[in-house]
Amino acid sequence: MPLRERLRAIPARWILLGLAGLLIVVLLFGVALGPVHIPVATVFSILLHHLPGLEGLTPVTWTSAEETIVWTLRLPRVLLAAAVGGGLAAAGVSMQGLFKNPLADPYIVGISSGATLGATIVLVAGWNVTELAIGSFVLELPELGYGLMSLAAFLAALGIVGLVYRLARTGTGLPLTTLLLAGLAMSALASALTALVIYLSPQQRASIFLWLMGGIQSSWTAVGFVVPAVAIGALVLILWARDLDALSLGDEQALFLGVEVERRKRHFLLVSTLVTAVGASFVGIIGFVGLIIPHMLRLVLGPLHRLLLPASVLGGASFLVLCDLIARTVLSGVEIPVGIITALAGTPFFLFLLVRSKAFGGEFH
Amino acid sequence: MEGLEAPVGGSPFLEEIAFELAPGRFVGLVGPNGSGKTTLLRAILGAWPRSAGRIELDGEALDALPRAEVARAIAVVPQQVGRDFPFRVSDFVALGRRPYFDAWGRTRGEDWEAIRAAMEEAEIEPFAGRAITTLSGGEFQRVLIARALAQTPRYLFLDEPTAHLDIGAQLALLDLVDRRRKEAGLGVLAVFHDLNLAAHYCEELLLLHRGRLIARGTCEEVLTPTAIAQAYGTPVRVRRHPITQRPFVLPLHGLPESPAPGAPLVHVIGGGGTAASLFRLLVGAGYRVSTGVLNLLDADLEAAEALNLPAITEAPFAPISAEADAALQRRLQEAAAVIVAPVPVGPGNLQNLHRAAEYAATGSVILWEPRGLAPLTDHTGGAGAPILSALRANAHRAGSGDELVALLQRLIPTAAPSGG
Repeated sequence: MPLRERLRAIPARWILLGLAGLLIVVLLFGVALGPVHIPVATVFSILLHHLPGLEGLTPVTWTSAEETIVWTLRLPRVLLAAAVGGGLAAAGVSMQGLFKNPLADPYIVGISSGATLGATIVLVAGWNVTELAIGSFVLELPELGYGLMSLAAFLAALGIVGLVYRLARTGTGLPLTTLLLAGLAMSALASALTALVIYLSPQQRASIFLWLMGGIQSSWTAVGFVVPAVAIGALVLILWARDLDALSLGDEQALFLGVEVERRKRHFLLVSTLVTAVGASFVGIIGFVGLIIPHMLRLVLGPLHRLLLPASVLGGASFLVLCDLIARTVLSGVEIPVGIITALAGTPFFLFLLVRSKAFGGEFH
Repeated sequence: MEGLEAPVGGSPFLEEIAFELAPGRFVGLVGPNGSGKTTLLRAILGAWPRSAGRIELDGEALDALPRAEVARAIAVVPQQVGRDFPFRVSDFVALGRRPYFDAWGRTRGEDWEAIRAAMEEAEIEPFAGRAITTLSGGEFQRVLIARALAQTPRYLFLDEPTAHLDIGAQLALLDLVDRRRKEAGLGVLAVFHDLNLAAHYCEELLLLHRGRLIARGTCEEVLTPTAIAQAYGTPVRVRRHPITQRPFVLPLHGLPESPAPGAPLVHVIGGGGTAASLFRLLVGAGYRVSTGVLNLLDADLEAAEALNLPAITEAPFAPISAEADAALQRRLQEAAAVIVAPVPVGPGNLQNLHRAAEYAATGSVILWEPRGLAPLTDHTGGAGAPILSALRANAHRAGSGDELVALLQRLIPTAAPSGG
């Protein structure tokens, strides 16, 4: 496949720089485009204006509505999308390497069903309140309910993964097949519980359903949690990239190459879970990003994780920002859940790659 | 102290096993399938449970060392490695440097040098840029060796490194390892299926059977027919390789049982490999068989010795001496029949044919004239012609194995052949 050969000849740093540039462009367009079009130059000025120390640098030539759109609505949204997308892709790469299976995704050990269960319980119980009454004093907290839901989703996701881990671990190690099966079983259990809760409270079905399809909010609170978590998590994963190379050859191989296998497996599981769960708790379940982005990039860049991991973070971030942009602009007045867009946009491209690589004699990893 | 001391105990399946691997030594681990060879390697390396025995790596307890330090000392070439991801060959070899990386995973000059040297030694540079998933089994085996060499270990464990290779590639690969051993003092512990390959390279062998160490020592001490029969359940004869003088194991599987001591004796006159196929046929038909006079190093003599047949021998390329001739005459008095293979007749072995012709005057001689072999020919320049024509006049002829056995049974009515 000449394209792939040509791509693999490019030095890694150029590929990463290119992907970083792509992400910046996508972020700018994500802020500029929408029902109200704001010129990229104006976006730049508003962003500069908000940087500490640079307030006076540019004359204010924009309306306050534009400033609100850029700073309060769109910027947190694209940043959240980028962080969630990057985190999902990083966790996807890790799980695929860990399970030696290019079809693993970040939700494989039960994160999605756990997060869904947690969010559902909060929704159904009516704890997603927006005000707190202390005696006669009422505190208005518009993000409180959202925050509680996120917290519940996050804790439930961690709880399920922790349970799966406890179930799967033996005295000496963590057999990955058992981990996979325990993850499947616990996912089924959590999904059944979610279905039961939803069935018993029909009035909440619509909101739960929306949450399930994933949606990105304009929330600086969410950005404050997700961006640092994903940034730190992704950095740590990238530092361990060589261990992931070794682990992707099998536990014994990794051991013989000097990897503290069981400890490292636990680390990968923990960091991937944190990165995925923190995102899922704010934006719901967004499929395909964690599966398709690493897969596509592995196809063109090869499986070496030192390149694949950072490339996937950047690629996943750009992909989700783009999908979210489509989700909020393609139909005027209606916002489509972003999970639908990721599936609609990702799957055909994925299948195209699949068919093409089949035509070139397989090696579809 | 330097070396790897491995007392392995408290392990499922493996009994107490102890051995040492000194730097620069080549130790072979042999034994039948399922005897615990791979398991022993894994137990030493901590990939198989083990509760007793303190394994010492250059004087330090292996279990207490960080895995990276163990990997800097011991590299492993496994039997099989899943190729789930298409790593580039050079990247795959570079994984051998994993135990040397610092927390930031940076590759330093000495890492590149080790990778380059390993790829050069294993001669895999021509496909350095290819994906490992596209390599043949033999090519991938060399890549695995290169990765292990890039690890610059002090000890190398090879788990049946040559299982998928042709004989030339096997030797090339083991030579490569052996060179590192001689040049860098690498201690090698290698699992072998092929005992002759093991004998060719190893200074010491460990023979495992059902998780127990049943023999340990030099190749000569370990490769005995008794030990091999016990471990592998098959009869063998142990010879010496004609050139290297290393023990050489010949499987005797499918060979007939020795005939009864009272069975009639058939003497075979052959040479140059013309009679080799007869021995097995005749022993199988229940006859005692002898042969000679044969020169030492003759192919027929090798075959006769493999079957433990008594043979009258003469020095290499020497004509038949008076002593050998006398021995032949004594043997012919005892023989119930004589078979003459289509041997080229020259001055050196003419005496054999002379005695056969004499015997034919009173006893049964069969000329063995199988298809595919030129018939008995005279190369003496005339001196042998009368002897050969006398022989032809009195001898029976057989052109196939069945014909020969049927003829013998008619000629020696007292015989009660078994089997065949």
